[in-house]
Amino acid sequence: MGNKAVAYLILLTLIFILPGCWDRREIEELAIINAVGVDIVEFKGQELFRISYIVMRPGIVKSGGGQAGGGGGGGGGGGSGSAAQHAYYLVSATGKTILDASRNLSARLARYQFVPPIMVIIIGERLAQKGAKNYLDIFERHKDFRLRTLVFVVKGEALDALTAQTEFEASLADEIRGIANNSQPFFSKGYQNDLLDVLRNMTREGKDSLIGRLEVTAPPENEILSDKQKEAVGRPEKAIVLSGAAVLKAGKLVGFLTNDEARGFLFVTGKARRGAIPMEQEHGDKVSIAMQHTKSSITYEVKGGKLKFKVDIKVIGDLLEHEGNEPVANPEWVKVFEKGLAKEVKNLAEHTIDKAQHKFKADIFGFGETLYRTDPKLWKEIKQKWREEYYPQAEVEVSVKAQIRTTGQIGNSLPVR
Amino acid sequence: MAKNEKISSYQLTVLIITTILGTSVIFVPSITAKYAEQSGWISVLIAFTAGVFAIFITTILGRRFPDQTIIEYCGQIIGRWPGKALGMSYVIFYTITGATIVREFTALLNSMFLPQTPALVIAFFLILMGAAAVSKGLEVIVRANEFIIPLFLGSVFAVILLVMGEVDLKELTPVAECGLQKILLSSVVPVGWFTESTVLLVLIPYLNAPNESTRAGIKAIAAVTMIQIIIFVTTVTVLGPEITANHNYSFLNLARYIRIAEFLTRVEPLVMIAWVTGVTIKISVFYYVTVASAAQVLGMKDYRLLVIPFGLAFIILSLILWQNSVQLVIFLEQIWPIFLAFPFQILIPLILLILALLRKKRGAQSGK
Repeated sequence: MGNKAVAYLILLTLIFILPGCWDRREIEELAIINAVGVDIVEFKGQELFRISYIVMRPGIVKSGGGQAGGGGGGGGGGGSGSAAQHAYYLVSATGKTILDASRNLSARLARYQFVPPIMVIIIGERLAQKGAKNYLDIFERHKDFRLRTLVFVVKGEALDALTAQTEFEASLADEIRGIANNSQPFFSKGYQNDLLDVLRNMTREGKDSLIGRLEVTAPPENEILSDKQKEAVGRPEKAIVLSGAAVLKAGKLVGFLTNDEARGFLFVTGKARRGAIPMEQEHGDKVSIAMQHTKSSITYEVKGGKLKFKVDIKVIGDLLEHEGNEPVANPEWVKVFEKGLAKEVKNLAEHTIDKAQHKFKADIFGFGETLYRTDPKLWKEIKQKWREEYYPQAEVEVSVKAQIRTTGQIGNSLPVR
Repeated sequence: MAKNEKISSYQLTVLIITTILGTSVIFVPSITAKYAEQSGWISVLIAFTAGVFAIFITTILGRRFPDQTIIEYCGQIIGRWPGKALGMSYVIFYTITGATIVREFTALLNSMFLPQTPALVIAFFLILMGAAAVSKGLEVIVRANEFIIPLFLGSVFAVILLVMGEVDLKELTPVAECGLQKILLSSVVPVGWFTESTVLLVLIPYLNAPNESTRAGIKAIAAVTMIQIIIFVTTVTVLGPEITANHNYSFLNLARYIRIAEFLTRVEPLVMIAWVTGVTIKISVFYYVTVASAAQVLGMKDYRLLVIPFGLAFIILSLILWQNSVQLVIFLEQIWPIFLAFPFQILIPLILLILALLRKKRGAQSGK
């Protein structure tokens, strides 16, 4: 009897202990960080880090988040109404280090900074140029960040990118992730990768990093719409766009790839998915091929003391658009299109390789890694001079096999009579 | 001393599996990838041979004295007072190892999950469970382990299955490119883990079939090797050897990397299940071995009196032996395997076995 009472008493005290007194976080005490932007800024002749968050306030999401085009008001100036009406808002602070900046932010953030498992990191151009490797350290070291977090570089300042308004999602971070995960495969001109990929490529010999790039632009519709129309449909002034990619060499930003160059990269590395490839025929017909599947393999050979890499790309696509009157539904024409497609892909790939090899001297494709995996002895000999000597001088041969799988629901275009 | 508690060969096998994997499950990829890079699995294979060797030494030695622990029979081999001294040093070795386990446990929880919770509190609850298990006896630990091992291995394999989609086998090439020297260097710590099976030196008298102990032990070592290689290969092929080696808790990072279809994420509690269950069993085993040895050195009839003092010793030592995580890592990677595990888990048992064979020492055979 006495024993039982003691046991119950112990169980009762356990209730207070088990939830974890010290590390308990109530949801009302949290400011959930959706996106982090990091910049280096000049302040009174001093270089400081600036950290910017898009913060979600649980509890307010329900009541205030439903406004049309609500999203990240605030920072861009002219956020209407008090901040408390918005579920998502923008805050930033500066400090001597990134962590210092984020802790300085706590001076005005009434809640605990909570990093959820799904978020986005955006790096400003200047910081990336100074050495993204050093500044990404905190995101690898701090327990709250995950290797799965998407990382982007933005031309200009990260804070500026975070002032973009959303078009679809309530939060900008969701918008960026949506573009990267859902739409990028259909577009296949930009690039997106996570922290793991970025860090791994930075530390790996014989490989340089490519990071997805974001751009803030006014949506093209805005030029045509009148102010009244804009108000009626809730147009954003600034929208975020996935655009090309940033090239990092030895952990530092050296330049950007355009949309088409990013596509060339996707072809060489076999990552292109479902973008459209427009082609103009000699006689004026236009067709678009929607890619279905691409594959690539990189092999190498040594010829007369010179390195030669072979990139074999295979593209399978559907003919989904044809402007013209030629009867395309016959094997001759399909062959012509396949040839044209192969040539187009080859051009894109060769252009990107040329730019990476000679302009940036950055091995974003991992040619050096291929060498290391297949001939580690040779790699050991040349790796010291890889970036400056062997890589820019290596010959790269691109061969493309293209295949048209179907012409869609119809064969020939509807004849006009 | 009456050894009326009996454990079966199967129970012994699974006990050794949890004892070795308990803490190593989180560290194996980073420690073996440190020098051997993507060829760390070869280091694990090397550790396997060391583990089997240790099992042979321990069980052959133990079977010569089937009713006694090493503390009792070492006096017969090397003389009474040297035997006492050796027994005492084993108690110290097991105490330090126990404190190391407690510190590894609190260090991981503090740095990844409970940053504000004092290490003392975490250590206290771990030792509270250990103390409860130890004072109930070896049989309770063994039976608890039978219940826990499916949870433990289930969590580990669930993580591995969930991350399968990210595996890129290309990461394993080129094989053994780093050279034999680095592979051997990477196997130093795993050898220390694999030879932890030498807790058998104290446990053999409790087996109901000591003659099967060699087979049971080798089975356990083989299973541990397989599991560690699977963990290593998955982690390295997903994270890459560089990132794997660079993270202290790379298996945990592997679990944190899981995201399937935007919603299946945050599965690291699975690793937490494996970690807490595994370490609880591991600390209980080492706790038991420590107090049982200490009681025999001191000539006490009942080891239970020693449970609380040694529990306090584990907690205090775990807090004061290392100032920070850097010291802990250096201790785990350089000091413990070379200066503690090697002599106490391989060298001394080997010397005792050779002496026992030369002097034809043998314990009284039991009735069976």
